[in-house]
Amino acid sequence: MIPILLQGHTRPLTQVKYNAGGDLLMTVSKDKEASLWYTYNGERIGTFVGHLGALWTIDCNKSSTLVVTGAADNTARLWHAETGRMLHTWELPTAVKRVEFSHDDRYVLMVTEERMGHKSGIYVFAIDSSSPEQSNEPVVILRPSPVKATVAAWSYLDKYIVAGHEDGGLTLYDWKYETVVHHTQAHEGTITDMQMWKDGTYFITSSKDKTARLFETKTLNPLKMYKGDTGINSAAMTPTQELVILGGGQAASEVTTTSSRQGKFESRFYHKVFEDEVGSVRGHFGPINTIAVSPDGKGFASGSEDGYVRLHHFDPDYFKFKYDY
Amino acid sequence: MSTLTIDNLPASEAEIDFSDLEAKFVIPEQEETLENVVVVDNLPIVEPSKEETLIKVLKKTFSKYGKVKENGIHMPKENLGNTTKSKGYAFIELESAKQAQAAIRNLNGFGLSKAHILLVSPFMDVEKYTEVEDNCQLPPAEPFAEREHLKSWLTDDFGRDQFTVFAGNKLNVYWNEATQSAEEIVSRSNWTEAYVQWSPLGSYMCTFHPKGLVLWGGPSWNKLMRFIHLGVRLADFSPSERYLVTMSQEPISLERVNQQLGPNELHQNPFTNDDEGNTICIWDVRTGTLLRSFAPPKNQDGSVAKVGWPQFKWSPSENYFARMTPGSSLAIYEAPSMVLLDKKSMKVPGIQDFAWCPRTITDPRTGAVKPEMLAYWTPEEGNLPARVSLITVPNKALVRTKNLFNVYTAALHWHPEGHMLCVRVQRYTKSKKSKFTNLEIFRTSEKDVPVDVIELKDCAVVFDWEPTSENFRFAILHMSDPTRPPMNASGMATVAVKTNISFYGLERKGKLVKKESFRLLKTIENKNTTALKWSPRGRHIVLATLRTIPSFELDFYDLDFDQSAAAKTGNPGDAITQVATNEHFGVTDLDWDPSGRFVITSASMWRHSMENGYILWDFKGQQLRSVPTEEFKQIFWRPRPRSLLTEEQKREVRKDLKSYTKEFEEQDERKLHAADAELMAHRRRLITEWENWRQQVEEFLAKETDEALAGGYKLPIAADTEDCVVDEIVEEIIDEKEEIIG
Repeated sequence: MIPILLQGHTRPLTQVKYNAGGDLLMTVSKDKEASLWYTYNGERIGTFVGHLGALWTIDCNKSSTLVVTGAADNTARLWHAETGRMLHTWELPTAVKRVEFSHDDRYVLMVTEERMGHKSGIYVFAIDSSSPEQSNEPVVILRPSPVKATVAAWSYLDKYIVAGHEDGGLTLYDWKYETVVHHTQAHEGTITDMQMWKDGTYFITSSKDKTARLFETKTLNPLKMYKGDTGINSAAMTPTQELVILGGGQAASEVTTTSSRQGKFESRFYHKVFEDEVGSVRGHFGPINTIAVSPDGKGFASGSEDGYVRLHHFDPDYFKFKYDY
Repeated sequence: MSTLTIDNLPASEAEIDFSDLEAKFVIPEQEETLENVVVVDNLPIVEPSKEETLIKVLKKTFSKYGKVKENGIHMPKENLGNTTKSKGYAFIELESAKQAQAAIRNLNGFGLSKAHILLVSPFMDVEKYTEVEDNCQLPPAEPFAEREHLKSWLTDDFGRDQFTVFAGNKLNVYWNEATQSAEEIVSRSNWTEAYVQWSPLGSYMCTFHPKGLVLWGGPSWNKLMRFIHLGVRLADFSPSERYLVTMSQEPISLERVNQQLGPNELHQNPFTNDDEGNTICIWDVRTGTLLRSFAPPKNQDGSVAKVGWPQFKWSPSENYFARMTPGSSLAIYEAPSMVLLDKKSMKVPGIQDFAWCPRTITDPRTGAVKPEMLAYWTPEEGNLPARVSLITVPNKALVRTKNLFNVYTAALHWHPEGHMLCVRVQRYTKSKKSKFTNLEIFRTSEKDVPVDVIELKDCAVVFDWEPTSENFRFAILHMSDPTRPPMNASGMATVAVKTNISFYGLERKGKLVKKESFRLLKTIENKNTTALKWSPRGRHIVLATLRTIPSFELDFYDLDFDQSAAAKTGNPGDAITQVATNEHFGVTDLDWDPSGRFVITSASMWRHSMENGYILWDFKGQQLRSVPTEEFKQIFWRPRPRSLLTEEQKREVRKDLKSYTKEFEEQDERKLHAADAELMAHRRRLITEWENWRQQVEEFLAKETDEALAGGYKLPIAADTEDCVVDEIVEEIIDEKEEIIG
């Protein structure tokens, strides 16, 4: 498997994401630019320029017409995907760490940082896809407690919002009524990433406690656990093979010496049901910050602290892979 | 008492009236005790005419340790018919109890003459023992408690070996498994407070605690014995596990031990006044009794001599043990009496190192046990050359000496079977600018001990005999510059050093007249190897780069791999083949299992904190299992006692190997199948559970979706996920020409 190296960013990557069709890849980095790429050949379509701070997060709607980004300049912005034109800016009290379109594309959630006396919040804005004008008034603001939220995602049918906390807790909100349905202590360390299964009925979380886990959305019951040997920054599920991909590595500040293998900067593959490690893909020379799998299951992308995105298309062998049972 | 005012303050101390205080804090006058009186027994029985001379002698002897009081010697007499004779004992009164104690300590056992070894004891003891009842009351016999079978692990059906893993605060013991993960036997938190150690035959596992040392073992892993020795740092067993030597940095203090034990357990204090200040103890392992304690060895100027560990080296029979004071003497003690052989240590000026022959050798013809042997070496001094000497014990007869010249240092390497001794002599060249090594091999079980000399061009830094005595092969690690590479604070070398490895073996030539000589078999050049680890069964060896940051190679060699090549060329060295080469990042230690089937390499957090854990390999260098473990510290195979089979029986087994192999292979197969079947069943169960759960969820979701859609929820039309091929026809007009056809 020869990856395509996307060298478009000059600073660490913060999130990579495929569109619903899997033909486009969106990447954001601390260099204040978001990029859009063809996944087929790794050609860059263009960049979304306008943010004044490091970008943390990106998402687009199902029809790949609108793109939303969140950044450290305390704004979230809406872009026209095709032209890269900025349509709207939401001013928020603090940095925006995670944005996600709801399954029905009518809402977008934004997780904000806790800073300068402002509490962390999960803001839900309505999106009007028919006009560039958007409401600045959030539909709902959820206040995560007892500690700030780091990630959040929409559940099946957009009924709930699941939030992951800095202390490893998970909360299931009935967002329309602003009530907590469940809260559970899921991890022993900060939750670094959360990715929903396509139908929103279960999801995978990754954590600094060196594990990634699978939870049922409705009950927050733990289903599976995958053990790594360093902190895990991102975890994704493959839609066709029953696999999960974990990415992480020693924190940049802890990486001291020579060889890159010491840092464990590999994407590691685990069997989703059996929890066994089945393989790994090397290449990065910094910790992997974010991993995304193409919705068609034919490839995956990883973004690293080293400033590169590695875009992989699986070999035919991968699709033949079958676990004995 | 007049009250004090500012005007009538006393002018001097003498004027102050202390009477009230004196009355209050009166010290009761000490009762006169007889603690300063000693009883001396086993004196010669003398007539009155010689009495005075004897008293004079006694006075002279005792005044070395204290002052004998005027008329302080009282010697009872008795009338025997017409003569008066002394009764053979005397009471001596010294000035103080302290002097009496000193006299007892030093003169008890003092030989006045050959027939009269003095027995000196405190007078108070006489009183104590006269109070003993005449009718002896036997203490109730303790019921016999059967001890656990200490070698039970050897009876394992599959002949598996055990090992301990110490990681974090947890100490675990496992059965090793070749094909599946190790089976845990016991796991306890805070089992040891420093580290863990096996006894040489594997019967006991020792754990270290601030109060002392504890032995564990048997099938239940219960506490077998406890040895109280505060601050114990190091422990060493005698070869057959009968004695245990412990060493602590703190000198023994009765008071401290009592404090630690608490008032109810004072009887457990094993020490007496004589042990005060000593640091090394020798114990009987089975009974737990202290046999003797020792002070650290002292140089002539009184400073503590630096001696490596083990400080006491045991003869293979455990009948003798010895310790040297570097540069001056060698003290050989007898066990279990713990007394110096011949009552004095051997003066060996300059002694640098010594080593016991590790096996008791029996004469192959007569079957008689030969006396035990030890070797030592002394460096050059003035006109005297350096010298290696072999002596027998207990008669201290010199068996063989050899003079050596231009010696920088030397090391003694006995073959584990005791037939050969290799002295690795580091020498200066004539110009004294560089160093090289001579290997002087003493064939100690042959008549007159012939010596073979192998002169190397460079320096051998590591030497190791193949453990079997078939071919007397050995491996050396040599390089031109023997300076050690720079190390970081935790003992990891920061650069890799180029080294060469050579194998030698004893070659036998001639059928009628035996001609034997050591021959170079093979040299492997330009490695980073730092350690040579032979399989305990010989033949296989791992060349490992341990504790080196930039390099971590493991090369597995088989010395008898390519027999046909060796037969063709006539050089047995051509059979030596590298069977595998591997890497274990950050490897710090390597340990063969006692059966020679497996190797464990480990990376300990005591050296660095990267990828701690261990890897299990088979003897061919194939990785069986990697077990990363957080805060991994130590791993040790449980040693096994020597095989009880004779050489003939072993040969028989080897002859019948095929039938055994079949049996074991079937066993392995069954085990593997069972494990496989179990794993498959487990996976099938997991996948069924998962599928059932998904089905449930999907049904639930379908219902929810229907409800939601009815409630006005609308999913956007999903983008077409099917692949479609877009054909783009690009037409490029290269040239346009207008032609009028006319």
